[in-house]
Amino acid sequence: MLQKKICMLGSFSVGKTSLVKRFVESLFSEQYLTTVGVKIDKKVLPADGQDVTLMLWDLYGEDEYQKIRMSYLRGASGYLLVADGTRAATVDKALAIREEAEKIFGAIPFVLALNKCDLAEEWAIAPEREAELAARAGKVIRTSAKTGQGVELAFEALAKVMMAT
Amino acid sequence: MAAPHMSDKHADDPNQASAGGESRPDDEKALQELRSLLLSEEQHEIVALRERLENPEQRAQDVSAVVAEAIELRRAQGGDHALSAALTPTVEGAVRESVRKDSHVLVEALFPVMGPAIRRSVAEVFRSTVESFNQVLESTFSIRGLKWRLEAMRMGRPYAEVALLRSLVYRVEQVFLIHLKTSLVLQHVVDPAVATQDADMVSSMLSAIRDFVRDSFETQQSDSLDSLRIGELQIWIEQGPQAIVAAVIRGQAPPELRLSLKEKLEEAHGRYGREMEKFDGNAATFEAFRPELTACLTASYRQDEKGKSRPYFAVCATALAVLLAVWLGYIGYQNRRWTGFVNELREQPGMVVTSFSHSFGHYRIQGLRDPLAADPAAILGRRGLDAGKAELHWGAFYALDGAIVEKRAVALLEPPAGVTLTVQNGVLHAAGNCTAAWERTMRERAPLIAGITAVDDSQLNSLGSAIILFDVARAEISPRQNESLAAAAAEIQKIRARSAGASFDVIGHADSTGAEATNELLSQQRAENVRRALVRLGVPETALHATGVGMSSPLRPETDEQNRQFNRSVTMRVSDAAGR
Repeated sequence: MLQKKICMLGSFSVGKTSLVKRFVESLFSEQYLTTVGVKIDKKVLPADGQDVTLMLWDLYGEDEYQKIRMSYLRGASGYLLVADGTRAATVDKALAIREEAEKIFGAIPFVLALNKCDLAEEWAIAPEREAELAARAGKVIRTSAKTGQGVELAFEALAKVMMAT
Repeated sequence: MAAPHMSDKHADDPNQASAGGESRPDDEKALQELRSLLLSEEQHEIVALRERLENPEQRAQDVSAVVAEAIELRRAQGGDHALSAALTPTVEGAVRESVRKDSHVLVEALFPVMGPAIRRSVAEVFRSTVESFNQVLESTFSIRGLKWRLEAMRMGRPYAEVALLRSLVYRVEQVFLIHLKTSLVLQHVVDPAVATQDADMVSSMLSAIRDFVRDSFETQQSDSLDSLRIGELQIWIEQGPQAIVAAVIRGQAPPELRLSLKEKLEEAHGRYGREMEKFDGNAATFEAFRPELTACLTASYRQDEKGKSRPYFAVCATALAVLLAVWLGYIGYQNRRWTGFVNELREQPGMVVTSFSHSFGHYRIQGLRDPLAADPAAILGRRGLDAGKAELHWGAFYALDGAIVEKRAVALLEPPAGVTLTVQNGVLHAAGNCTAAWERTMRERAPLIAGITAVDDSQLNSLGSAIILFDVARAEISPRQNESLAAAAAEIQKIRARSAGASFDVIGHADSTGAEATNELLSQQRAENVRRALVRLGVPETALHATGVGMSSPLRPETDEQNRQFNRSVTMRVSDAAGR
């Protein structure tokens, strides 16, 4: 069976871990996130007519105290760039992380997930901005770890992009 | 062949011809003729070879003729790894395609080898189990074994598990071959006795921890974490340019093991270096490396300190165990016999066992016993038990069991022969022939007996003992006989109450004095007189039949006057079965 390493990237508290929890049953404790800076999960899903095992590296979100350990990104076939749709600044931060990743590891397939789409009233990303992001980042998907909306779709889209690469 | 080819090429090229500028058409023609004369055979061969090379069917035929020899040659040259690697994807693809199309083909092909393979695998597991069991057995009867047994009890784990772990020097439980760049598992083997987590996730987390340690302590890029230890577990890691080998080891492994891991890693790079470099997540290629990793799953156990077994100790221990087993078996057998005895006592009417205990081969039984109940000592003797080992303590009581009450009634009422007494639910049932006097006594005493609540004398018949006595040579009934006569009438009425159709013989007797004819007449008159008296007392005449037997049926031998008196009498009996 085909295996792919993918990473969850984004600012602190944008919902990366919640998205993963929506997607898989975890083996390791979430304490690994704060200690080692990463927690690894696994999910098998179909892509391009075959089953693909995704090894999900959920990286501790970058904040003012801690940077993302970019070494964890080495060997990844793709990543899910996560931003909080209710905080526009996290989108900019996500794009900055992407630039940094590309600087170190080159262009890697990714999908941008605008999370917390269940909070429609607090949504801070204008439609024009989303369109611009889609143009810049490629695939942009609204997700909600709370309701599950778009979660599977985001991972499937990422798997598809990786398989096409 | 090169020269003609070159010439031929030049001949086909008009530019070459014109570039010279010096050749004339006639010369060209002559040259061609000359060429065809000299080289025509070679030219035909070249054309034939070209056609052969350009014809795919022909080419396939040519290759098929030498392919087996070519493979054999390649193998002989030591290039079988590369050949295997080259053929693996094709063979795997072909097998997959075959299974997809019709799995039965492969099933039939594998069928002859599956049985032996399974048997071999089972035999291997069995051998391994026996080895482990032997080790456990050897340590069972030693001080060390006892120590482990205590430890097992304290930890709540099976003794065998503790014994194996404690006699273990080291055991390689898992080996991972991990792709360095992606941290994905290329191959993973695990000892069958070990429970594992998901190898993919463990492998990735292990790589993450290695990265974390390297980043955190700002080591050089070439440095890497090469071992981890937690409790009795160690993880030894060997890193290569494309992959790492990680071995999970329980116990203290020898340094040679690390060398062995290094060799395996080098072998993996040698065989699959290119595949590792281009690894895209498909680890199927590395399945062929599984046997090499499995060879790393080694283990070592401690031998006896002196390096030799101590059979005398085992023999003594075994003998002790056998003696203990025999003794325990004997104790169990005796306990079962005594328990059977106590159970029998419990089943006895008039006996209540309140406690039963034993210690050091002595058995103590306490309870209550009716004086009329069975004798425990007799039961003890019948069962062949040693009375000297028994302590029996009985308190007296009146039992109300039917059987005991019956015994009590018999003892107190002393029924005459022909009378039976039974007790059911506290009711005393008396049946048979008796005297009127005994019947009276029974009626008076029976209600006073413990356990008797009522008396049923409906089956009791005292008529057989009724007798009316007469004076010498007289047939008239003396007033002294009125009471007996009334008792007889009452008994007859009682019998008739049970059976209305009953009839009775009234039999007259005479003593041996006087003439026989006279005595017969006298006995007949006596019988008639009693019959009439009974009729007067209410007995229907039709139910009575008077007969005189004279001196032919004496009631008693006339040895004295008292006995002779009995023969001057009238007796009665039930003549019709309906009355019985």
